[in-house]
Amino acid sequence: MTRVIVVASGKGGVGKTTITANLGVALSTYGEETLVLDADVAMANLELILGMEGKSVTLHDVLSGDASIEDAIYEGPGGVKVVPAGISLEGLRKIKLDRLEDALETLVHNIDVLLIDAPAGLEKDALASIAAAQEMILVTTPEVPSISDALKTKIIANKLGVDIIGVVINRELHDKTFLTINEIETILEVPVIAVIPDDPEVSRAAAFGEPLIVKNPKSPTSNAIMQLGADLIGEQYQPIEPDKKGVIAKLVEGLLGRR
Amino acid sequence: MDVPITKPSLVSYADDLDFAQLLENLLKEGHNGFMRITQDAEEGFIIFKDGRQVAAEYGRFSRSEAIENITSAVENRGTVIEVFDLKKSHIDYIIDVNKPFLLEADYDVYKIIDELKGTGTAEELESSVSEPKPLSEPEPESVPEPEPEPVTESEPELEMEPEVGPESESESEPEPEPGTEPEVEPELEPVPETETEPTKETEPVSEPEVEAETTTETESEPKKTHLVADYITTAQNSVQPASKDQSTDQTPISREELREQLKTTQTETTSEVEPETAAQSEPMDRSKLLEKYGIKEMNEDDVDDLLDDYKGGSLNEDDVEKIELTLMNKIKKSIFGIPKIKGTEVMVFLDNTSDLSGYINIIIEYEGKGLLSRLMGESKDIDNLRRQVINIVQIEIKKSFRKYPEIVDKFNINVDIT
Repeated sequence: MTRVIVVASGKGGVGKTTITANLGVALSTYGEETLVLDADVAMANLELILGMEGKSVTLHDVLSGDASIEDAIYEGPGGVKVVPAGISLEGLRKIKLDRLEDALETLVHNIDVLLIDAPAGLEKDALASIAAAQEMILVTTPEVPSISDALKTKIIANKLGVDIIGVVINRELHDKTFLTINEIETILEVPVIAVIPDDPEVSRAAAFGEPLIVKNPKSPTSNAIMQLGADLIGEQYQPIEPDKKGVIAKLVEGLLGRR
Repeated sequence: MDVPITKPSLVSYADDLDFAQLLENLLKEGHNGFMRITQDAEEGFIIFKDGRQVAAEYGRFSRSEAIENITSAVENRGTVIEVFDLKKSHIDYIIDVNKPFLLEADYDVYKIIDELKGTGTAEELESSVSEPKPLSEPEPESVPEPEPEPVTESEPELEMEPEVGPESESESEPEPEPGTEPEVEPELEPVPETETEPTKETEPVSEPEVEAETTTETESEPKKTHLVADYITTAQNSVQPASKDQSTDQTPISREELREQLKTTQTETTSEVEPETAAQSEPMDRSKLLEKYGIKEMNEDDVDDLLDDYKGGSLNEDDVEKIELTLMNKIKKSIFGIPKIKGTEVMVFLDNTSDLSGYINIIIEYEGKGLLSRLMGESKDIDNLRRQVINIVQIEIKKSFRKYPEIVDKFNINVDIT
């Protein structure tokens, strides 16, 4: 049975799309038939992170009634399937959000995991994304405004009967001015399922239009997301460590005149 | 590792300085503080007390393993090395809060210098550094070792000249080597501004990394050179350690590890996450936390208002049961109002999977006429009654979901008349 998981946050800019994109690729590498849908029809970013911009048929067309959802499915990095939202303002005017659930019902055939990248906020499009899912992953940064918005999103999800898997803390910095993991769990009343450190590699990967776990699988963020993916499906994951040279090897290189 | 990130007294790329020499100099000077080594997304720290390395962390590694990784990292030309100064009175506290990273008791601080230099200078160093003295005054300098090449303005790199420690006090005059800048008038180039004290900004810590990148990318930035005198001067005027610690552990942890850490009061694992204190692991009062951070709980009314705009969606299971019961009672009451209805049973089953829908089964006991009448055409009355009951049920559904009347289309209504 397909798991439909929405990745939401409430606050924008906390890393939902990055995590959704990379998590989708991660699940795909584990052999799960995964589809990632960008439900942020107003501010579509998923295709940019995955380097899949400019597709001819997007979710815009589906929600406008101009195309079927099957025509908007593309193969992305790592074998993940992607339904991009589309970044056309023209398309935005014609969409009807009540077509989203019908589209999703079609998608769930032959898919193990459907990840929905929800828009920020709690407007109709965000509510539609949340309501369309069975489970939710909350994404937040360890800052008060993010936690506050995540709390609102969590309450809405509870009201809509969406099961919350847990919260991912993104851009964690171990700064004493930020909330601790314990505090976040207490406030949100939801377990923390992953802690992703602040990582400049994320921006670099986005600039290249490649998901981070493909571009830099050894980065802490990549390892964290791969671990999250493994936890979601009950797999084991061994983190990839950065290259390590022994002191002797370095000494030899020094003797050989590398420096 | 918990260390107070302030303004560094030294910033340099690893390729522009001799790391072994730096360690040696810190040892001779009896440096108190720490060093931060940043290579791409990896970050490490070495804490120094009286010039000796006492604790180390690098990514997932700690203690001597971290030192090994750091010595590998400094081979990379892009690695940034920063030296921070602390007062001697503070160093013990810093060491105390970083116990999991303390180097082993038998760790030989000279070994790493020896290995890096590939020379047998360990014994010399050991004998020369008997009582490391704190940095107190500007001291005359000598440059015994070859210096790194001067940086041109087109390459905004940071450079530090080798320095000596207290033993140079005996020298009356400095002996500048060719190619060095005049030490009589040391130029204190501003260090790329890094975070001095953590503030409540949204992303305070990203500045040092951004700053490091800026120095590589901005070609017009003047070269920044730290002379020995500058180093000593800034050490002497070391910035007060920030009141709030800051560690930049960047490796991920799994959910199970997090749960284990939350349960334990003290941990000495090599996990990358900062260990929770005993106070933090205790159950927290949620209402106090909400009040502390000014976070407001969302009211039920607010939620309902929000959902009013949304047409459709599933509901809380408790709400579903209440709706079933309410609908059942309303329908039953309305049906009893129809003449000749002797009894009725109403069953409401709601499906809350993706969107609210339902199945309503109604059994009605009708006061019928004689056999002949039934044969003649009572069936028409029953059809009419069935339609009437279905209409009643639909009206009750619409009245119940006043703001979402379309939901009536999602209900299957079955009427059995006996």
